[in-house]
Formats: sequence, structure tokens, C-alpha cells
Amino acid sequence: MEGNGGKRKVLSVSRLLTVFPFDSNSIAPVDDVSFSVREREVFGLAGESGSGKTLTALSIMRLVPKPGRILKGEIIFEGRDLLRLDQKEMEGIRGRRIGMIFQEPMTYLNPVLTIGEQIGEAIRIHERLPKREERERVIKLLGDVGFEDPERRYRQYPHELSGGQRQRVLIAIAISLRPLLLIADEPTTALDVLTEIKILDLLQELIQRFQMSTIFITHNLRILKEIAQRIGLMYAGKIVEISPCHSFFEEPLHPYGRGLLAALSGISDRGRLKTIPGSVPRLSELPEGCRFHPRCGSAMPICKREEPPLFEIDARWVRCFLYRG
Amino acid sequence: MGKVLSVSGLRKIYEVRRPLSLRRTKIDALQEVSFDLEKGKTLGIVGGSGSGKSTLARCILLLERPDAGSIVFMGRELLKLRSKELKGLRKHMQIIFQDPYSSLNPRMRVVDILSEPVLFFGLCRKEDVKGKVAELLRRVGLEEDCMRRYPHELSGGQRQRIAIARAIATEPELIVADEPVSSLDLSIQAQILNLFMDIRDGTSLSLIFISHDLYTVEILSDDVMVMYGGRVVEIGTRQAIFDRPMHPYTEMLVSARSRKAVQTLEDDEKVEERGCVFFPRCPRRRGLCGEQLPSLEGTASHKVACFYAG
Repeated sequence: MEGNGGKRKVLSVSRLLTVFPFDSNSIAPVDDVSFSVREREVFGLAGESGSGKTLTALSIMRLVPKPGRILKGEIIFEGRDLLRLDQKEMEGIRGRRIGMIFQEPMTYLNPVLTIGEQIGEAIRIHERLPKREERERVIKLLGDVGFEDPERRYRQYPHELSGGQRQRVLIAIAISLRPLLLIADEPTTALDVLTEIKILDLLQELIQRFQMSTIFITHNLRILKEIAQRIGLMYAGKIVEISPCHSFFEEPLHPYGRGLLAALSGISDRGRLKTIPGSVPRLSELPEGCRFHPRCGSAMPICKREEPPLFEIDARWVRCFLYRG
Repeated sequence: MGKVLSVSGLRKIYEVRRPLSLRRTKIDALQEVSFDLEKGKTLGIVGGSGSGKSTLARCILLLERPDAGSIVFMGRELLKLRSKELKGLRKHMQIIFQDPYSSLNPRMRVVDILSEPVLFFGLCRKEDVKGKVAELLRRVGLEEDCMRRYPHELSGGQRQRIAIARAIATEPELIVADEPVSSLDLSIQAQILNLFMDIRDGTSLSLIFISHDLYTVEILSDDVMVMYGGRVVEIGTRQAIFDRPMHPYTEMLVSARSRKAVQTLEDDEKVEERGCVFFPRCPRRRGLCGEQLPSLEGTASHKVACFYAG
């Protein structure tokens, strides 16, 4: 792979199926999801609420909340299938080789422990260091995530920090063991616009500096346009398109992606915004055939009967019969 | 067209007690907020969390009583009205909240949610109420068979349509919409924004549209007001604000849209008691800013509160 930097696959998810019991049946919030993340790449996972982005991430971490469970699939990371590891082996991966950042920083910080103790604890789970060395590591990390006075922050409690600063602490925890893969789930959604920009800048800098591969999950396509190299778009549990970022924003293939970008683009000619009619179906009431067909302007008879597979064109993948070839 | 609403010097103070402390501290949620709203126009209010925009919405409708100031609505000073008089005016002012899940009574059917304001204000004869509800549903783009449903049977977008139908049921002069699309999915946001344009166009309805998102404000507003720390830092026509932002905070928001590099300082410095509210985060601050509060100054179409406005 020399001279071809960034091409090697770090993570490869294939045919992942995660289900939850529902009434006497079950629903699949992650349904036959396949994608890969390459070395040093930011892979953007986009979609509206309920599309399955977060559960895809939790499946990779093997943290699917009960009663949900992973029914099928393969998650190859560093040559091993994460779904075949036992609890102990998985704990060695989680936090150490794969770091994760969540949306609501306050929910994931312990209010009665200082910032320093919490970052230290994250390190301690995987590495036993002499107390002083651990403290130095934590203070260095606090500096890495942009605190100007790490010594003071070390002694502070979460409630003394602003939302953006708490998110910096979570980022410090996520990168504390130099993971190969970082999963960031809506890391800026709860923040105000200006703080969001600062956190995005920080994440980009750290990703570059520590050469991490990243799965960046967001409903905000504008963010992905800026930071992702490739995009996976999800709709009702399925991946409907995987494209390089620039091609996606230039010309999305899937009608759903086209609809989203049109809705983002502003006013249409009649003084109204372009919209996608209807709304996202409930997973318990999915339509026959393609899940998007009731809202799709290009739906054909086959779309109502059959579920489209992923078609490949020009190194892009799209789940739509328009590209049947 | 004349003013429908004129707010001046509005002030709201909350007293809060920190956990485990006996001392009460005062928080200035709103200070010296003044603006006018013309009949038939839309005012967009932008600001981050804690900027006071929701408190302002609640104060305008007297869902909370401001501590000082004046609110003149349809020519009457609201703060001096007796509750009976106020009740009569309530018909003309309505609110739409951010979260359509908690703003609709889960135990009421849609038909009852929408009949309630109609019956309360006696807007039509009892036997015509069903027809009135059907018409409201049509106006917000819903089918008549929604009537028998409960809120939990509807999607987020449909629920927000019901909230809008309830607000327009009394044919109000003013609707205050507080982050009405923020909790909705992207593909639904555009539908609801279009609906706002539909119900507004061709009527004399005035709208106050509150959002943290500049995009949605730009789409709907005639005038834009930018708030920070409980104060108005800039107000002007949409064009003035978006093409020639003058306050450093507005500038940041506007350039953040194109994701240009934004310079702000850390957000946790102590706020100077006497100084500008934006002082702690302002990249352009100088000596005077920490000691004195800039007042809102400028022309009728563009005012800014900054000593060093760009």
C-alpha cells in the first residue's frame, strides 16, 4: 500500500443486521448495512432521526441496548471479527482501539468526579501507570484538546464547564489511548453555532495529528460537506448511497439524497422551498418494495414490488432501480 | 401598515439559588429589549441558548410577567390591562412551541385540541365546529381523518401542523413561533417553513419567528433581531443584517454559515458587571468594552450595540 496512503481498510462492516422485538414481531433499525472506513479517512454517516445511524455505531461498539441484539453480519477491525470476540476481548478494543464521542456530553460525565479523575480513569482501565505519570498524561491531553490552563481544568468538576468544554473533555477521553478509529455521534448537535465550529476545528486537527480514521455521524449534511471524504446516507435502517463527498454534493445519486440537498438549497422558483413529500415511515410499518418509494418522484412499478439492492456505478453505491444498468 | 406590536425597555430577572447554597443570585434574562413589529411583517429573532429569545417570547404573550418595560399590542398597553381585558386580547396572539410532543395534550383527540380555542372564544356556532376544524386541517395540509387521532398517532411534522392549526384557529393578529422547526427532521423542516409562508401570505398576520438557525430565519423574515446574553445586539432589515452585519457576534454567525474561520475567545470568562454582554467572547474588544455598556444605536433600518461596530 506504499504511495497509496489512506486506501487500506481499517473497518469493514458487512451485512449488519440489528433487531429489536416489537409486538410479537421484530423491527430492524440496522438492516443489511455494509460499508468500510479507510485509513485516515473521515467517513460521514448521514440520515434523519430513526434512520439507524446511532445504532450502527453502537453495534460496532457492541453496545446495543437490550432488548436489541445483533442478529447477523461481520465487523472486521484489525483483522478480527468484532462480533466473534468474547466480552473480555471486546473490552480491550472499546475505548482503547475504538474511541467514541457522544452527543450530550453531560450525560457521559460523572458529576461527582473531577475532570482529571475521569480522564485518568479512562486510561487506567487499559493501562496501569504510576500516579504521577498518569496525571501528566491527563494534563497533556487537556492541552491537546485546547484547554489553555490544563492544571486548573484537571481539578474542576463537569458543572463548572460550559457545554463546549465538556465536549472537549469527552474528546480527551476518546483519544486518550490513541485509538485507530474514532466514532463521533452528533458531537456538536447540542452546542451553539460558534462552539460547534470550534469543536469541529479541534476534531479535524486531532484526526490529522493522530492519524485516526473516523466515523462521523450527523443529520447535518453541511458539516459533512466540510469534513468528510466519503458519505454513507441512511434511510429507514438501510444505506441508500455511499459516495465520495464531493461527488455526493455535486450530484447525489439516490432520489432521497437529491431531495435533501434540494431542501437545503433554499428557495425554489415559486417562492417556496423544495421539499420531500410525506415523512419517514415507521420501522414497524415499512412499505413494500423500496422504503423510499412512497415519497419518491421517480418511483417506477418495480419500486413498489421489490427492494432494490445496492448497485455500483463509478465507485459509488446506490440502492435504487434507476441505476439498474 | 402601522405597528401591531411595540416593545420597549423590557426586562426580566430570574432569581436562582445555586445547589447547596443559601444565597440567591439574580440572572438578567432580558434587559432593555425594544423593537417594533409592523402589521403583516415577520421578525426573525436569532440567538444561541441563553440569549433570552424564549424568555422574550413568553414575556410578549404575558405567559410570564416582565419586571419592567412596556408591551403595546394592537394599541393597548398589555402590562396595564386587567386580566379580563387581557383575556379578550389573547384571541389575537398565539404561540407555537418547539416541541410538538409536549405542547399537545396527549389525552385529547385532534378534533378536541382544535375545537377548544374555537369554542372558548365562541368563534362559530356549536354545530359548525366540526366544519371549522376540518377547514383548519385543510389549511395546514392534513387530511380530515386526522380528527379522530391522538397526538401520539401522528408524526413530528404532523403534530407541528396541528400546533399551527391551533394557533391560526382564532385568526390571530400575531403568532410567536419559538423554534418551531428545530426538533423536526430536515426533510420535514422545509415542509413546515413552506406552511408558514402559506398561512402568512395574503393575510395581515404578523409573525415573530425565533430560531438559533440563521438559514430558517433568513428564509422567512423581513426584519432580523440578534440577541446575546439577554440583550439585543443588532437589529435591522434582513438585507442589512445578512449583507452588512456590524456586531462582531452577528458577523460570526453570518460567516459561520459559509464556515469561514471564526475567531472567538473561550466562553467561560467572567462577565464584567458593567461591560458589554459579548465582552467575554469578543475578538474585537478593547478597553472601553469591559467598563461600559454600548447602547443600541443607528438608523431605523439598522441598529447595533457595539462601540467598535464594523
